[in-house]
Amino acid sequence: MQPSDDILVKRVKDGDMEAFELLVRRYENKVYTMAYRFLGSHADASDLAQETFLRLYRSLPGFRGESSFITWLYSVTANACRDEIRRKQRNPVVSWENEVIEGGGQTVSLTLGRNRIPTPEEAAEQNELNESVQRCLNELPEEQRLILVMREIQGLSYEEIAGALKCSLGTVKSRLSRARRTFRDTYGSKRELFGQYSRLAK
Amino acid sequence: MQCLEVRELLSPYLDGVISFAEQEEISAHLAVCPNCRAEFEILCEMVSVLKNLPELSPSAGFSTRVLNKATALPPERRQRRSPGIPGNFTRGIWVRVAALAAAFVFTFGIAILMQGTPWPKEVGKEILQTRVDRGQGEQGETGSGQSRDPAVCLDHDPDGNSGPGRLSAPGPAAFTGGGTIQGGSPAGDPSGVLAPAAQPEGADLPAGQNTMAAQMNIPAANHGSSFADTSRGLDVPRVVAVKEGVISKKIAYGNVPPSSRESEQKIVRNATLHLDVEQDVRPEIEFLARNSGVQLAGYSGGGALLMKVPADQYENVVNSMHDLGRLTISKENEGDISSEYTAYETRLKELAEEEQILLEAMEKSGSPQASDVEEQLIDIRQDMEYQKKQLSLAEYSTIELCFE
Repeated sequence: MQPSDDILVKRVKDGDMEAFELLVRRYENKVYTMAYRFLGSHADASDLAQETFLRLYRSLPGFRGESSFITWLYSVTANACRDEIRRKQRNPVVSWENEVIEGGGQTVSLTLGRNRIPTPEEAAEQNELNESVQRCLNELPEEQRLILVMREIQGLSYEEIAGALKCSLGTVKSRLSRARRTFRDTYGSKRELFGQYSRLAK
Repeated sequence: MQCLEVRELLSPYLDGVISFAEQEEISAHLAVCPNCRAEFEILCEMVSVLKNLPELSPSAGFSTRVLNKATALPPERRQRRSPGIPGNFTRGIWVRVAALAAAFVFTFGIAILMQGTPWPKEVGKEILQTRVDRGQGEQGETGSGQSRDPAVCLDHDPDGNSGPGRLSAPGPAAFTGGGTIQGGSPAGDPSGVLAPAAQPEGADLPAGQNTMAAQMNIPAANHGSSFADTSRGLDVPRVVAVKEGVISKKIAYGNVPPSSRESEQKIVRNATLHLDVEQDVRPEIEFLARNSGVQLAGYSGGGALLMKVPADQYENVVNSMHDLGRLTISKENEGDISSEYTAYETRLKELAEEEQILLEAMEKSGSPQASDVEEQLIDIRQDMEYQKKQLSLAEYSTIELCFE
């Protein structure tokens, strides 16, 4: 049986690096996915995920379990995301390597038909759709992007989001509502501009 | 329940986080209102599109790399950080800096917009004084009386000038609680320099308060008039909202009266171009972008580039690229974005109204909820900024440039 998060945290505090590695392995997909969805680039996401775990490691000695480990992990990730955006705003660079296509990182396939392998056409179509969804996400204001990623992609509850973002449930409700609306508008206008993805047309 | 109310609640309704009564009411409404039902379906579709995005994993060896770095950290650094929210304090600073910058840009923009309106005479004397108080952290307790001060107060033109009212930030207007919005100080500094001012003596604010320069900080002359202005709070938010409307219009249309352009269609062009080049022309393109106000973004796997081109520069940019290599236009279309443009404008107005409601609510309550309202207010303002940006971006044409 896998040791629980709490036990691993305790072991890391006692200096057990193996326990830390287990934690990293356990959550690397979640953190990486969140970073990628937030930043829209694999290279940046990799750096950010690494930075997140290092921050986690540094602040672990002070973690006293007021919230669950996972909520705390998301709060550290969210802060790392915000800081990264701010850093980028300070040093804007045109990134030529910026790739939006899935597949730069390995995709753990969870989508399309539940029990069957998609045809290449379906896979290509899905990729294209994912790519355009990601592009819309990239355009959202940072806080809205963050909350949308946490809710829809990571599937956190309102309470967990409030805990991770250090805000009230009311704020989660209204911000999420607004974020969904903005996303919908962005997505809608993109769809018209490029005239694709008719399956979403009314 | 009206359609408008229903739509506001669709998002929490979808997640089942509203009261049972509201839930019932919305279900009943959706059963009879096809428009709201369509809206709800779109919302569900959007959510499922996002939910269907696959989980990704980092490249192989990620955990080993993290582990190596963690082991290499000097021991004292492993301990130093406090728990929970690393980066939150620094975040506070950057929010404040951003707010300060926004206030500055805003004021500057207003000053420019005022050219040609009946009341520019004092613009030159305008003073922008913004206080940035460095909070020590968050204090959850709300003080009893202070939250009656409005964050932003209108200075009703004491000269009797009947032009648009001037917005000014009152004295120690502060909402207590974590992350407050705060206007500027009344101490006018004629040098017009942005200067962090000390907290006034006797302002009776809890220590460790987190304050933030209000984005609406548009002090005019006559600023030092008095603290008494703060009592005029109630009619203020409405004016702020109207003001926002006016400003957004002006931003949208420049300083031209909207009537002359309102009917005009907004046309943007979208093109996919292929550029056959022998060498790396990226420096040339960056140069071209700088000269024509083009925004560049990396895009789609490195071989292509997304350019946002101001509508009037489109021809010019395409022509210039002919000089760089063999250029083929594989797709070009014109889009009428008038409707989206209007949508952004409408959204902006709605937000201004929401803001007004919140400001009123904030004023009435004295209240443990205040910091919640503030958060929402900050959200709304951020959203307004976003909508404004979209509004200005809407006038850009898009070129997708692929290198061969």
